[in-house]
Amino acid sequence: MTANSFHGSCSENPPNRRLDIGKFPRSVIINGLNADQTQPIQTIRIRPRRAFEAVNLAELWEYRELLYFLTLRDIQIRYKQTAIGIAWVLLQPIITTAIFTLIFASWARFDTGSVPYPLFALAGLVIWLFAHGSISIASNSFVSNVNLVTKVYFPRLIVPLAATFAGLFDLLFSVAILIILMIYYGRVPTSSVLLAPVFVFLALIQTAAVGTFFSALNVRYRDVKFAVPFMLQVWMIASPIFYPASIVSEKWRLVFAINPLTGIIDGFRSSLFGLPFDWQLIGVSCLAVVVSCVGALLVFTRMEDDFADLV
Amino acid sequence: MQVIKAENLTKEYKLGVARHNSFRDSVAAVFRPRKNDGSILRALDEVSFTVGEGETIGIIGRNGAGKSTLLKILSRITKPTKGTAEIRGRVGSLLEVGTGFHNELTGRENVYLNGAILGMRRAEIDRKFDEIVEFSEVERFLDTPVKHYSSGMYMRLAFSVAAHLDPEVLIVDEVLAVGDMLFQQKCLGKMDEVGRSGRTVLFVSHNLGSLAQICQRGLLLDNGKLISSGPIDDTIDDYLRLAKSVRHYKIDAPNPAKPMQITEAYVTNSEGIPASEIAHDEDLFLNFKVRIDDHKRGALFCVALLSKYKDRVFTEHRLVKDVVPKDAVEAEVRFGIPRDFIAPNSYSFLLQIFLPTGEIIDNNVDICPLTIIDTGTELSIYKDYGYVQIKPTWESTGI
Repeated sequence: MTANSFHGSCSENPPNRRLDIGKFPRSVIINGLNADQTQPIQTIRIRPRRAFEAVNLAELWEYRELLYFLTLRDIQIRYKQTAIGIAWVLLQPIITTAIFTLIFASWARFDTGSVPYPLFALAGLVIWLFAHGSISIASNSFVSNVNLVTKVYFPRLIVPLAATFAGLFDLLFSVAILIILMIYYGRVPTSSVLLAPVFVFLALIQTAAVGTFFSALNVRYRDVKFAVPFMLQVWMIASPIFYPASIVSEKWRLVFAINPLTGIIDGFRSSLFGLPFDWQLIGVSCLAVVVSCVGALLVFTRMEDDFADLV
Repeated sequence: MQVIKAENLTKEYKLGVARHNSFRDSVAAVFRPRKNDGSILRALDEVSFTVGEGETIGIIGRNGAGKSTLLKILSRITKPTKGTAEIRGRVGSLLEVGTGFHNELTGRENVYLNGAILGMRRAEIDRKFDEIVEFSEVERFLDTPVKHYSSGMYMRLAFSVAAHLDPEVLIVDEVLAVGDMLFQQKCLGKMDEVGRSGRTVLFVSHNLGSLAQICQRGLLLDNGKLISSGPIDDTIDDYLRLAKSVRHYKIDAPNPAKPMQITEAYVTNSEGIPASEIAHDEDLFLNFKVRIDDHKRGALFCVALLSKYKDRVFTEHRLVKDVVPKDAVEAEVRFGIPRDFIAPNSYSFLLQIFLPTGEIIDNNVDICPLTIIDTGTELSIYKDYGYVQIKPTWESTGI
């Protein structure tokens, strides 16, 4: 049975109101196409995944605006439907600093040199609270964005990155408190404060790497949900946040620096308070940052193709 | 010029073992020999085709035929297991309306977010913003969080953003099945406009009517294989032929307690071929076999068509003796419903034998499910437009 006989068999029917697309002249149709695109037409190649895939940085750059909008969204929604809203951003560093000061400055009496203990602790907490918050949210980012992953294409890396970047917003507030506290204690920063952003940047990279790693793992293994809070607890104790890196003996200090946050926090403090930099410590930590970045990306690129099928 | 070229696209899913949802399972699997190597599901099986510039292609197939998998591969959401595809130009895929919409954000914020997710540049959204808002008809609520929107408003805004994406290749999956009728019409118009402006459109829908309206060519998938491609009308015909899988009602053993009993029933199309999907412009027949041990006086057949909500569309009864020859112990009955009468929708039958006293001798409810398929009515843009097609008269007197 052909199409015509199929529809032709109902002769008493009104004719089908079908749009005869062929009637429109092609020349008219084509104009207007591509009027929006400034870039030349690219060809997209779809093929099975290969054993090793590199991160497509060019594509990531193409989608930078999506990263911006997703980051913005994460910031906008984070404190929605909370009673005290944005005040959480201020409460966390203030209260934690107060508790640390109460416990460690009066009992443990860590030697923080010329730096008052609250200032010392807050400097560590600025980095730590950022890492903690961002990793917690990033590691869950695919699971909480299922509909994005299963319905649209974009470089998957953007999802954990956006969650990490959104943490920078909180960081701004804790830095503001830090500045106020520095003024209160009358600490005048030296020129080495110019290096502080470098350490924040390192913290950002490290946090993004860990968050990305766990976000990918979480798609397949929901164990991550339980492992991450526990890991963060251990990590906090293993990082020089409420104690100085110098309490670890000289011999073990470089082993200690394999924890990337050791060098980052120590360096951040040195730059803020004009103390001498322990470049060996910072160097080892930088290396650790690079290693964890590469490791995270390797795991991520291996797993990302299956996300839509697994989430 | 070829815009899409797909070669041997294959997608396999491993069933069973493949999903380790916890790390422990995964570790355990290393030590355990693999049991089910055989259970691989081929969602897509060596599918090859090309699509030219400006073509509008309808993808047809039954549930589980591989349509969604094909769309997901072409929109790069998942990768094929084997095979390659090349697409020239920007791909916009609408597998869902409102992807990434966040309830806490305002309409305005969601337009930007959703636009970016669909692959639009910020400058592009800025430029089209007014147009998007106007199309959506939600200007007044632009700065209200979308959680306060009605579902209609939500859908309208979401579709508007999607409709203003100007990709070279547009992939659409059933999104027209949303919103009120007027808006659906508007959406269909927009799709048609996109098709006519020289863009390539891939369109998956179960609504054969709108496929026939919008598309020029069709691809028919079944069990992951591409089994036919060509002009849309031919593909729809092939699909209907394929969909004529039989929904046969048959009792296992006769019940001797019943003096009369329906033993078998099935639906056939105009050509007498058993079918469960019938075009709206085809005659349809309910065929049934009846066993008669005892010709009860005044016994009646009752046939009713049930809607998908199981209420009656119509009821018809007839004396058994008027239909079945006297003294027959078994008979085959053919009950016909003329074409162009039942509207495209899902139905089933109620088939009874009862006595004038009201006693029901044999009762068969909700048997022989069937679907009337829209192969191009004027009303095909609507998802559900009732149960009957009528040919009314319209008159007016002007003053």
